[in-house]
Amino acid sequence: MKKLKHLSFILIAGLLALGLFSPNVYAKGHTVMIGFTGPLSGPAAQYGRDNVNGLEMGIQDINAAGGITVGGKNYKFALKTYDDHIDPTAAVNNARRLRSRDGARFIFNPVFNTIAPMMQINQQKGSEFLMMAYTSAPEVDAMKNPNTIAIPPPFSVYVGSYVKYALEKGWKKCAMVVTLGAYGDGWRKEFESAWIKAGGEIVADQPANYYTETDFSAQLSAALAKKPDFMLIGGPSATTGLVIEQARNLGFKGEFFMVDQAKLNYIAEVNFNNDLTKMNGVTGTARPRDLAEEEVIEPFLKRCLKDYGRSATSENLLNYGAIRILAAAMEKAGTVEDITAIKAAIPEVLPMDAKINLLPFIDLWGSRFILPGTIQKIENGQYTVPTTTFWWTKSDADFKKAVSSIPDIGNTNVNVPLEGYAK
Amino acid sequence: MELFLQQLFNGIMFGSTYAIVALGLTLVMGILHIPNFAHGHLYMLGGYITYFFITNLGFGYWYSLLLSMVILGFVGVVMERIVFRPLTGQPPINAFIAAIGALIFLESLALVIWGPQGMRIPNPHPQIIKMFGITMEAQRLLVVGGAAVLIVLLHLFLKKTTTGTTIEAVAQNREGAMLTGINVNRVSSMTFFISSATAAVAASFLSPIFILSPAMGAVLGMKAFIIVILGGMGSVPGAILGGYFLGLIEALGGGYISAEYKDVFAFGALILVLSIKPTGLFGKQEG
Repeated sequence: MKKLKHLSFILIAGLLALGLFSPNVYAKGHTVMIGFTGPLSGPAAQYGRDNVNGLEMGIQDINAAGGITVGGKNYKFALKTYDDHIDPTAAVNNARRLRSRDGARFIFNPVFNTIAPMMQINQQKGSEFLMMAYTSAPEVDAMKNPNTIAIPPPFSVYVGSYVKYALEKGWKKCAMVVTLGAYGDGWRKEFESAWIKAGGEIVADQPANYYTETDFSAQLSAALAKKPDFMLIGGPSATTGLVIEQARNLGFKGEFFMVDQAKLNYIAEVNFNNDLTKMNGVTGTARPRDLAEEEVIEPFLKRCLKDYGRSATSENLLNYGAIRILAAAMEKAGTVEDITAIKAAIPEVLPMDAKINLLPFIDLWGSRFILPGTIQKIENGQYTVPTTTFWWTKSDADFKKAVSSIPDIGNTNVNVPLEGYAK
Repeated sequence: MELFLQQLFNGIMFGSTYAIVALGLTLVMGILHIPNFAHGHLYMLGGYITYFFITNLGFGYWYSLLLSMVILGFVGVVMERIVFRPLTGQPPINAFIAAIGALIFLESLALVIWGPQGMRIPNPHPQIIKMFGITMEAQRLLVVGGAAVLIVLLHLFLKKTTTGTTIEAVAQNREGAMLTGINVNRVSSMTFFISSATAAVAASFLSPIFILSPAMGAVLGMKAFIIVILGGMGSVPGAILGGYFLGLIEALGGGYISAEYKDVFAFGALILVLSIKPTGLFGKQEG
């Protein structure tokens, strides 16, 4: 017993020492601490990394430009990251730690399952933080949390675009093999109701765990037995690639729609060694190259390749843009602490110069950035011209105005007003 | 009918890999009484070693598979020597914790060396074969056939060679085996070698169809544990049948009812078998 007491004393002393000497916390000068909690190990580690990489690049550029000046003081940005393995409890603990110990008032997280519980604690008096939610789940908007900013467009945008496209093709039967979890369930439900409302039919719904499984032949065989015209698939990119390959090998000839988590260029690279003929008939969110003007995007793509040894993903781009907008809003609001004032200043700094934040972030809608959603199809072994969807514009005049406000990069622009979102 | 045959083939294919991975695990558990939680992670490492030879050094598929077997075999031997052997005679909980430590070490190692991004071994046999109205990839057929050959070879080795029988002797009675002059430490090393080498084979078979990632071993490792317990601790036929059994349950249950319940079926079967026969299907009563 005595020995045990002794041991625990040493342990506690050790932990205290660790806490005192840990770097970052006592950085010199004035610092704006940015927090991140997300999957940095386990099956979704790459996804978490991609988010962090975007933040890192944004922070590098903010600091290289001399940081920001607020109230006559110069501030540099710093990033602190914690791993939460997509565990809600760990995410909440990390958020508390980031807020109280590291002093981070801006916390990024890339998974809806962990964002939702974090949104329960971000309004507590004295420890408020701005939840920077990298999720397309529309539920975030319904929660009306004032201390939240959702970064990518809501996935309802893609649901609308896919339904429109499928109707034009005259398709009827859809089979769904989508990832399990809150995000995938949301996608399935929303697509199902939209497709049935449009007169279509869901002939098979075979969700699968894209995080733990690699063989989908059981689900695919069952789905394909119903002879669908097209399939809705997707989850993490690499496994989505496997689903495409396995479905093709089982003889599926129809087209695929991918949920927005899966990335065309990532799959092409990792799964098919950039042989795009293996991805004919796959539609998903557009590759980064087609999201902005060439002279803006090319240097960024090259930088991702050089610094991280891999092609850019939209996680890189969107997080990069978000952190640059935050920095600009802090300067505008004249504070680095008052998150309400900073959030309120965001519409004033938007839209920004494309050279600074790459993508056409146009405005803030409630707690979500307004940014068009772009889809793209691979056909005859090539990326086709993407379709950019404007989802917040109600009238034709609004739509035309919005189109003219962003750089023309040759994409097809369409107006698909989203119920509950259009202004 | 076609759908049933397709699901049956899927189940057998998966069962084959489960069987060889569980086989390696049951040898270590039954003979050395080491709950090697890191077995699935050895499997993961085997996949990466094969990847290294094929992609970085440009070796052929079969040559890489053999090299991966040998190298992973020695990794197993080293692991036994430095992680588990010093714990002989200690309470079993120590080996438990050591195994978990080894697991975390291996996963982090792969994360550091190869990164979290998924990686792919080019498929050496991408042909598609159609038979009886079902579609099969040549590589998947190879998995089924290769696993069967491996199982037969291993069986012959354990039953028909003197070296193989020493493994069984140690499993039956450690002290007795020592008295008859069997070098127990050597048998331990050998068992770990075989166990790891079979994991490398399974990984090399499967990685051209799937994606390599540092976390891929965790799920398979857990399933191998289920199979070993289902089939009876240390039982070779139990591991083989348990492997095919689990593969079929998953494919048929997942395909016909819902994939959401895939794990429910697998673990449900485990609970059911254990409540009827607590020692597992082929387990012998202790003592």
